[in-house]
Amino acid sequence: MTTIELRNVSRWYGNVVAVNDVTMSIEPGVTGLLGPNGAGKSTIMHMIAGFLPPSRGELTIGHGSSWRNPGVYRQVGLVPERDSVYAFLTGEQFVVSTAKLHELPDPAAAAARAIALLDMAEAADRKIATYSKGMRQRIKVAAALVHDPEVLLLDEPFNGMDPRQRLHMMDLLDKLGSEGRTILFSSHILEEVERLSGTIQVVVAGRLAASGDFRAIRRLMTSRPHVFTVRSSDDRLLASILIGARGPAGPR
Amino acid sequence: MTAVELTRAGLQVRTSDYGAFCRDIAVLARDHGIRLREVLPADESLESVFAYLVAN
Repeated sequence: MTTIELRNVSRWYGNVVAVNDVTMSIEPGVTGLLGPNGAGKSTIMHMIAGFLPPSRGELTIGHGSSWRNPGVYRQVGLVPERDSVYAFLTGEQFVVSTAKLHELPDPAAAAARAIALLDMAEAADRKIATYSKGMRQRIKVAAALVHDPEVLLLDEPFNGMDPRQRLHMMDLLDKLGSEGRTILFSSHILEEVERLSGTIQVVVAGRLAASGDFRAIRRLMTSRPHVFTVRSSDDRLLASILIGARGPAGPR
Repeated sequence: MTAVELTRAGLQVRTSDYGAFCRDIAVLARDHGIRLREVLPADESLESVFAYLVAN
């Protein structure tokens, strides 16, 4: 079980503050990092993945920092947003080569396991150039999982996927999360994301706007009236009772 | 703020007190012989939570 911790993490580029004093703890299970475009999601992802150091603050995966610490990749799998796959390789060759880079004792077996997990066995001997967007995404996830990491980071994994592929990916993430892995994905696509059982971290303009279960977050927004749809045997009478009621059920 | 609206799909009710509304509506309906068929939070989706957070 591995936890990702950010403590007062900020990151700026010149005068632009991309991430502003973010503190969060990402536990085993599935966590969605959500926010509009330009909110700082990718910067946070890149810092966790060790591509960027925080300008200020502290960031750890398990017990180590991810910056300038290649050892951390033994327990971390990365699925970048870009289609950074070698299209001239077959799916299997791509995953096997990743296994070799990790110096796994049996690259072929590890690759076969990861490919099966992603349901890609049938297409594994085809060139990646012939894959659909969803298949490319899956082969990237297979490569990221080939060394059986405890932490999986996915940057915008649902981009370019159709709803069916998203649901499939969501189910897979749920499964990986329920096995005790720490799964963090970023997304600005909210359709289907709410089906995920995990927690969300919402980033707006570089700051952490809310975190937790989205229904619980909603309950805490007391400044926003809650909207209910009510159907009853006599809606008209019920409406007049609710308007007339002086208790909390009355309108306010 | 007027907070009850009669629509084709039923009543749209706005309330600032989630817990109290859920408790009281059942009592009020029972006291007036009304049968509740459905009480459904209409803005508890991730979409609306997200929209509220981004707007704030």
